[in-house]
Amino acid sequence: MPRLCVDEDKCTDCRICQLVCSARYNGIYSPRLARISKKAGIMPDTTSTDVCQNCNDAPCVAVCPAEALIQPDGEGMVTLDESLCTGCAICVDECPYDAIWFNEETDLAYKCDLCGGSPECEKRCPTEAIYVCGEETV
Amino acid sequence: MEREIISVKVRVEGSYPSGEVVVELPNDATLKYLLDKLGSSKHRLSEYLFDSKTGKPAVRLALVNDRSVLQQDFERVNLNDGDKVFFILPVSGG
Amino acid sequence: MFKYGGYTGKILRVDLSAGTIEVEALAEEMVRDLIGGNGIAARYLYDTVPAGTDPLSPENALILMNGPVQGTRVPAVGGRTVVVTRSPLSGFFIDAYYGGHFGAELKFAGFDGMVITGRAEKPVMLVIEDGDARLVDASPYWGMKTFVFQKKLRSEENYNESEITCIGPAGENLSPMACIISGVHAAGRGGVGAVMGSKQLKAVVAKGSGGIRVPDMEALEDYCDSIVERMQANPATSKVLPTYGTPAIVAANNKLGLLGTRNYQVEVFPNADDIDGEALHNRAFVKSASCFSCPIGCAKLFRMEGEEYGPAESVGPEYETIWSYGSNLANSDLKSLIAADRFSDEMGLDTISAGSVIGMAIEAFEKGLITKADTGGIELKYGDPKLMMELLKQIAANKGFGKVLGAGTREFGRRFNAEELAMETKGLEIPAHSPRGYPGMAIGYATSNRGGSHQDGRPSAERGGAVDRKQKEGKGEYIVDVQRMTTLADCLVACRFTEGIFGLTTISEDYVDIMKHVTGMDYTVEELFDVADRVYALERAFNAREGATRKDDTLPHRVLNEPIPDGPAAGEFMEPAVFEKELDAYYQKRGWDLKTGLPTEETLRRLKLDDVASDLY
Repeated sequence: MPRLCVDEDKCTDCRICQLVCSARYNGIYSPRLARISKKAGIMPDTTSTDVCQNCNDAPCVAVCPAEALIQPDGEGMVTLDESLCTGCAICVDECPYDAIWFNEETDLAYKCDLCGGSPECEKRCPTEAIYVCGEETV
Repeated sequence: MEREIISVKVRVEGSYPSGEVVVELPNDATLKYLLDKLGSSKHRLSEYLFDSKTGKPAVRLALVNDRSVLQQDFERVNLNDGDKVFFILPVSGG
Repeated sequence: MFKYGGYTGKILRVDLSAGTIEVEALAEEMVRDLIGGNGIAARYLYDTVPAGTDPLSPENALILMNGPVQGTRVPAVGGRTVVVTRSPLSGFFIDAYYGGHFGAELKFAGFDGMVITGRAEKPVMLVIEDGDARLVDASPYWGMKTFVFQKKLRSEENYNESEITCIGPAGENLSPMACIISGVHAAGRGGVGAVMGSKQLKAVVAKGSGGIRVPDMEALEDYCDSIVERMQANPATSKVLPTYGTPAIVAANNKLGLLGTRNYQVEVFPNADDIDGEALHNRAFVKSASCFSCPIGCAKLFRMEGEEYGPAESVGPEYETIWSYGSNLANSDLKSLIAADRFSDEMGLDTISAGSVIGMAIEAFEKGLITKADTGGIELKYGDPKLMMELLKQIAANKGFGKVLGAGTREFGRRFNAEELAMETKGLEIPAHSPRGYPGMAIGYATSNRGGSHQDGRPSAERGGAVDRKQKEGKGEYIVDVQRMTTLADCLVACRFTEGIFGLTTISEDYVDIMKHVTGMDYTVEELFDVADRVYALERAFNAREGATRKDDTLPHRVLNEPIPDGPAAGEFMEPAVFEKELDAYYQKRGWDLKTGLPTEETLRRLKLDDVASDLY
């Protein structure tokens, strides 16, 4: 199933991915609100990325009490229906990739949805470190 | 006998791979002719020499052997066989 | 919410003696007149630190300041920050800039900057998180090298997503060449690390979950895309810097005959290709890195096997360090450059000043002006990387001969009757761009308010042939406009690698566009010239209170009297009469007094610096 992959050898830790994501979805530059999370140590070869992997039989889908997280047939894109989300945040703890987060202002969970097909971060990553991948199962 | 073709060794600052590239030119070629030729033939060095959006040369200075030549003088400098040309970019360190 | 986009509108006022922290509102008028970064920091320094304040005393202020753009996506502008204080090395105004991720994080934590005075009773760190700030005991960390410290702190749960600005042992030891480190980036010049050390402030730690709002996000995003497009089309920003970083320029500088060697005795280094960009790329390159929001990615992680000089893994050396520890010391051992760069970052030491004073000391030793009795028994010679490492250790320890070196080239010259060998202006060592080869840059060195600065004047237009470097006439006026550009950029706070995109020699419309998109403020280019002139005059006034006059706008003896002896640039230097004439033209253009080298009263009032005018006149 499609998801974002990151070649960490190419990632320069510029955080432009986070900036364009939060700009698009929240109208603000705020890495914390981005649907892709970057971490880095002191040296540049220690970057890592947390982003939704659209797991088969996604645990977040299984645990959502409001059925706001949807994944037809247990594979492919996991979609979050904000109109159903009750803000319980159980999915946040359940995600094995730390890739779903909670926005305390809107009382909604948020995760990557590949921008509906053409991810902003993939378009703007200056080193082409981010790409849509996903023939393999997770 | 006068040579029809000359060979110059060209290096562009910051090119990758770096190192000299041999370019053949007519024997009355100027520095401007060399630059234009590299640009128009889509030589692999051209992406270091020209702004790819405007098409204008990004380079304003060249060393011909030891001698500095400003861009406005490129068309006045004739190249000779064996000349070493080093194009310098307007880039500078921290 | 602050009236203008980009700003948080909040400044922290920290008194380390009293242990108090206050949140102060950023004045709207200050923002209009001075924009941020360099500008606002200079105002705070002028207002907070009276004349004659000992730089290492509690009364000195350490100011850390963002501009409006940090935390936004404006390419190569969103990530830089400035430290401003009175320099313990020069005694004058110092502004030191650094990249990385700290400035943006501080914005997300809710603050534009901070003014720190006083001295803590025992080592502390200032911890800032989402609108709150507190002082935390840092005694367990005092003495730690910067990478060890940052890794240790980040391993603790409270701090594992924080950005850190800190000092290493050199700052703790009060070396006048100590710098400030954040991640692997350095606010390098002027001993700013010693000021922080004198306050027993180990670190400022920031973590922020906030964000930056701008008037029209869609328009700004489109604008950022257009800048990226221009950067992708420009070879320097799309190819050269991403591939090689700043080491790219070593080879051509040597071919130009302008690579300072052995304390600028000559400017051709026979082994330059052992330490140039290509050598580093082929032998040591591991990975590229970026500052926050920058698509260029010029920082390079280099690594070589073998620890005879210490670990040879560093982000760097940059061009300046390849000069200062390499050609300047006739040292062609590439591994030692990486190791020395790493060591300097870990200890928190300015590579430019440290390399420059070592280069001077070696020349002085060769000429018999100093002897082993002065050096603690060590023989000084060029081309000796082990000696270089030993002297760097001593400078960082700030003891013995290391303390003598750490006091800088100006002091070294006075102490040993070796003034003609000192390559400094206003007591700050001249960096890696040839003062004899670039006359505009030389006048820039002479007139910079911080001294030997590669970031006030710029060499790029002269080096790259955008202007004729060999022509001296008119360079006085020319460098005024270059300095206006850099000063304005330093208010935003922009990385200097935008110069190839926004313009090498003056303030362009791009700066108007950035201010409009990020803050909503309308400026004309002329008004931005005024901002730049205002900031520069403020810095100059600070220096004037410390006694600076035209006599301090001068050049080293070598530059004014010794032509480059050989190589492609043989014969070039700055004739004193030419320099004085261009300096006159410089002052004229700035509206400064030709005798005193200070802004005239009329100019100060025109720039709305009435309080400064009353102070000086």
